[in-house]
Amino acid sequence: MEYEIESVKQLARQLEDDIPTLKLEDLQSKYMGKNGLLKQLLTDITNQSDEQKRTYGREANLLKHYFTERVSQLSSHITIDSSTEKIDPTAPFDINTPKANWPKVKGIEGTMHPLMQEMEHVLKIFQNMGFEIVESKQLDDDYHMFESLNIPKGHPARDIWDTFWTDDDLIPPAHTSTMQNRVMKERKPPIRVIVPGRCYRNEATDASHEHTFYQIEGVYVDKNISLGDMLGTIKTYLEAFFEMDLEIKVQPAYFPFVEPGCEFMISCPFCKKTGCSVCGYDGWMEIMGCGMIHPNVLKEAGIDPEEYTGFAWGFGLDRLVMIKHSIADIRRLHSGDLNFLKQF
Amino acid sequence: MKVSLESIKKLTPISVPIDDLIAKVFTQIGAVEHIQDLSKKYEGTLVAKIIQKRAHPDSDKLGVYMVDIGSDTLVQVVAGDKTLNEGDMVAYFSLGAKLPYNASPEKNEDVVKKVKLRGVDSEGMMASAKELDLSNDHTKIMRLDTDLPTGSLFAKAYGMEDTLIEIENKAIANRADCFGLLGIAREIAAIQRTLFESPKWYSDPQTNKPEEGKKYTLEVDNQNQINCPRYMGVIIENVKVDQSPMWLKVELAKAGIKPINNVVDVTNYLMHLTSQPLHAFDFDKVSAGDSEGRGCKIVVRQAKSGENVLGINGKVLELDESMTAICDSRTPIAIAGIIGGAQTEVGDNTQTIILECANFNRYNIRKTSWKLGLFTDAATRYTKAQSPSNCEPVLYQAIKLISELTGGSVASNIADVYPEPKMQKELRLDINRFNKVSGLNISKTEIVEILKGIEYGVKEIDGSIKLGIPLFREDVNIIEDVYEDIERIYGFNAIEVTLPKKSLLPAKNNRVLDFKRKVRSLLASLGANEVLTYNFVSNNDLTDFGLDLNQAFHLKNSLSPELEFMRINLLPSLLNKMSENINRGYSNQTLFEINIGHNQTEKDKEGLPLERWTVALVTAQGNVESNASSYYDVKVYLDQIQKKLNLKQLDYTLLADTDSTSLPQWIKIQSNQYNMNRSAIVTYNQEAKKIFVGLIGEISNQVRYTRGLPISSAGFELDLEALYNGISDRSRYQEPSKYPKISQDLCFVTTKAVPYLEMLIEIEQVLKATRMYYEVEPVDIYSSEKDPKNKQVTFRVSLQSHDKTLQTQEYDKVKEKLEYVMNEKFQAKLV
Repeated sequence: MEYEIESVKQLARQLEDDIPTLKLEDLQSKYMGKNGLLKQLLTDITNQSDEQKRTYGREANLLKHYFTERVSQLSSHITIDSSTEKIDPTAPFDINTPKANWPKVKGIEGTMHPLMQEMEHVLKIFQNMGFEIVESKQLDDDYHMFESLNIPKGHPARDIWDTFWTDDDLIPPAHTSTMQNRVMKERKPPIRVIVPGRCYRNEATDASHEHTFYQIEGVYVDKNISLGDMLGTIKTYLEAFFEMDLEIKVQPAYFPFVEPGCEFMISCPFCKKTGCSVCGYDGWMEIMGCGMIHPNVLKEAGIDPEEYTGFAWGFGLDRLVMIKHSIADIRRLHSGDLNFLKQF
Repeated sequence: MKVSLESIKKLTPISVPIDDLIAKVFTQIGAVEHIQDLSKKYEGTLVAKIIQKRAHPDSDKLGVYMVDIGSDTLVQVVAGDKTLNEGDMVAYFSLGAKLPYNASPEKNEDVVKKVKLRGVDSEGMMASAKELDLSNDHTKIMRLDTDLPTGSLFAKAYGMEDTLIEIENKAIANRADCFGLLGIAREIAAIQRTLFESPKWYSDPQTNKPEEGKKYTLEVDNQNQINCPRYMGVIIENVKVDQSPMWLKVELAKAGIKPINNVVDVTNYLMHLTSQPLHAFDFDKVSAGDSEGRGCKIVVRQAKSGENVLGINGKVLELDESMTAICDSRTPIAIAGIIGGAQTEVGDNTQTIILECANFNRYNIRKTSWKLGLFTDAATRYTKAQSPSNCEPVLYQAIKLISELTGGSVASNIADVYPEPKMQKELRLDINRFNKVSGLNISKTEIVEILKGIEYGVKEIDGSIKLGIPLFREDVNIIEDVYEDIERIYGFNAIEVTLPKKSLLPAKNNRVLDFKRKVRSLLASLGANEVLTYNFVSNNDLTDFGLDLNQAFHLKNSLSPELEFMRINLLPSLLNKMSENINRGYSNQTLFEINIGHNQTEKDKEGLPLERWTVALVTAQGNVESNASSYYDVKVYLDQIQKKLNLKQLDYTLLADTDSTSLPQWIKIQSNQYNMNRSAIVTYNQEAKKIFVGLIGEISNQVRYTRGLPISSAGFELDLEALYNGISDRSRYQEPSKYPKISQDLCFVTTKAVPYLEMLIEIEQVLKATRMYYEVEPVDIYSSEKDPKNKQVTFRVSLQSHDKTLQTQEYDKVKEKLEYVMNEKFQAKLV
């Protein structure tokens, strides 16, 4: 392999000298240890000029890749290459396998992810209420994420969402509202649709913030739909979800695709308004954003706002799951840690 | 937006208890993020007088003072400021007081204690402006006004017996007017249902218009009306720059703005009051372009690339053609609506100023703000869409205050470039429609009262109401915006909760989603653990798994290099998690995920990246003794999916025996992840067409090495929609029989090249033709070392007649038929 970057070239040469002479552990610590040469090389990317960064990153990573490959060839337990003999892929087990070693499924320790379990719970309620389900996208365009939602290009309201952008100007959606225009355009009122999906926000992660999370959106459009109907529909769902009667209140909030926009609050279902850690000793829980669909959004989806009105809402699933199981750190949800997963 | 309730009271009465008011703000204006009782903040802070000054015996920097704090005896205080004189008034922190600067409710900071400073006792502390949280000045003790009673509470003396509330900016993001106290006061009046009247200088600026001066001419050349709809300015001379009076400092401190000097403070104060930004330039530092120095010309134009401005933040700001610059005759002196330049900054020696009060386009300001990474208070307000009508009253009021505080006087014309004055918008309100859409039932009288209360113009014409939208309400454009005002002020919580009327027609079922649910619950019931992993992956997560970086979508603004690409498929994410779990001690594990990968090649009907839902599963069996391929460990899961979800017969073609050009792109690009001799392409036939389902098999050695995965690692990744479309329309059900069963193990010898499945299918066809209840299951697949080319496949074949006890001869006939067919088809010999 020929490297362009001088520092990478040098380290590659040194590595070739070291591989036959050093012991495996020494190689590991010299190159990938705490202050390992390769580690330093990789972190040094921050000191490179902008135009050099790409090449540097690629070469440094290639060298690291090469190193791991060589080292793993040297190490014992994984170096055993799998046989190159062709198998019969249509058979139920390999040739010459005694019955005791026939492949088996793992048995009873399987689990469904807690987010998906909760999602099922939520979707089932909405399905019972007569909503259709349409899943959201994970890579969408500016039109659906913003423009069709009354947020033109360059509009300052865009700053409400910390949005990721790809080099091709696509967006991993920051909200499930990215599907609103589609679900309305593809249907004629009455429209009752629930959109579950993954959303993404460009914000630093900590115990209560994740860049990847789940939202559930609702869209309802028909003749004579009022703000009171919105309150009733959301309240009905929440009472079914928490399996108890709730008090509700709303407070004004600004989302460009609704008018008015509201923050929906419920009496805390865990303490019944006496105050607990879940509601921050407030007695009330902010549960979702909602509002009457903005006439411009209806128009953009080909629906006459004089004839039809509607409402929409969106809420996060992750927090509900965290509250339900007292999960302290949101990052566990996507950790893939079996110690976490196997408990559900 | 930080709001002092005392400042609000100067604009409108507050007639309800503070707690009730805050609750109302919450439900009718927007979320209150923070509430601060200022008198608590200044608890223990007293007004004190320096009585006697002494030198410190052991320090050049410290001063020792005897201070009157209103008690019977004087106290001795050591301070790091030797410049105080007898008679000076200061703020004094008594013992036990907490410093206002650090006053955050979460932290329990140190309180003022009796200390010895270089051997001299010091009781209590004298305050710098910074310690009082009034400015950044920490170089000296702050002097107070001299006419205050010694020993009185600092909070009382300076109007700090106040409550500050902070309204969440997000909740009022569309309300430019609410980024000023005036706007908030109007709303607070409305929610108390009292009529609000803007101050006369604001609603009727003509009454506050200052006399123009003749000494200088201020010319404004606005070259871009779109980015600058209005530009007003004036020259003020004989300005004496100094500290602002205490009342102004206090107003600013309450707004969280640090006082600077009496000119800048006035501009900041009026911005906080009205939301309209202002800027002052030092006239003498502006290149006048007029040789006689009789005036000056301000040019508003697009910047040229290569131009820059040294901002008052001390940074050189590079401009480009998209940005709007305020220029003198030569160069940019400020970036419109964002920041002023240091060259023309008002300082202690400034004598003449140019005062700017202009309106800039929110889109342009936002763009520039992002490009420069500068989010100043002015920029924040302009991006909310300021009304150009604000310029006039605010400029006049600024002139008035600056004249009062600095002794300055107007020395020029008042320039006003406003080529297209905004007309008042008008909307018609239909009360019936409003009540229908809101679910409220409000009378016309009450609606009129609500709207008049927030300064709408209201005219009733034949049953409907004609509204004149206040000029400062740039956010009101359609009647639904007015609905919101009425609903909010009337109270959302008064709306009757109803349910929509709907028909009993069932909603359309999402069958693919249902299928996903079935796959998920089946895999979990078989012992696999569902994981959810990020879409975002690193460079290595692609290249280590044999993927082409050019096939992945790259994020412009990723959180870190670990998360800079969108993944192409799920298997790498799962193998990473498997590796982590091996390190946690789970040598035996099965993980699966149902999710989406993206590639640059495949597009959907909208031309967007195709979103193929796949189910991926990985398994590792620890250190097994057996030499059997782990391919079969993962295939059992797929066999179960096929059986339990009643799919058509799936075909498996060894990857090594596949012509890769015949493969769909998405399968081809991930095929490097598998060991080609020990993995397969999964397909089925539908109407003579081959449908590709995905890949299954052992993980390639290369991939295993990079992640330290054991030899038993295997996995699959399958297209869920293809699986769903492969659901068989025929049931496999056979009516059971009550007659005895005959079973025999039949062993066929054939070459290894004959696939097991084909043998099985032939056998099943023969058995099916008997119209008996049949079962066939594998017993053994064996190849001896002596005869490595061939294999012996043993099936247990069971038959039951539906109408009698089956005889051995009858069974043997079937066996003969099998022997014949297997020989014909595969040259397989029954042994």
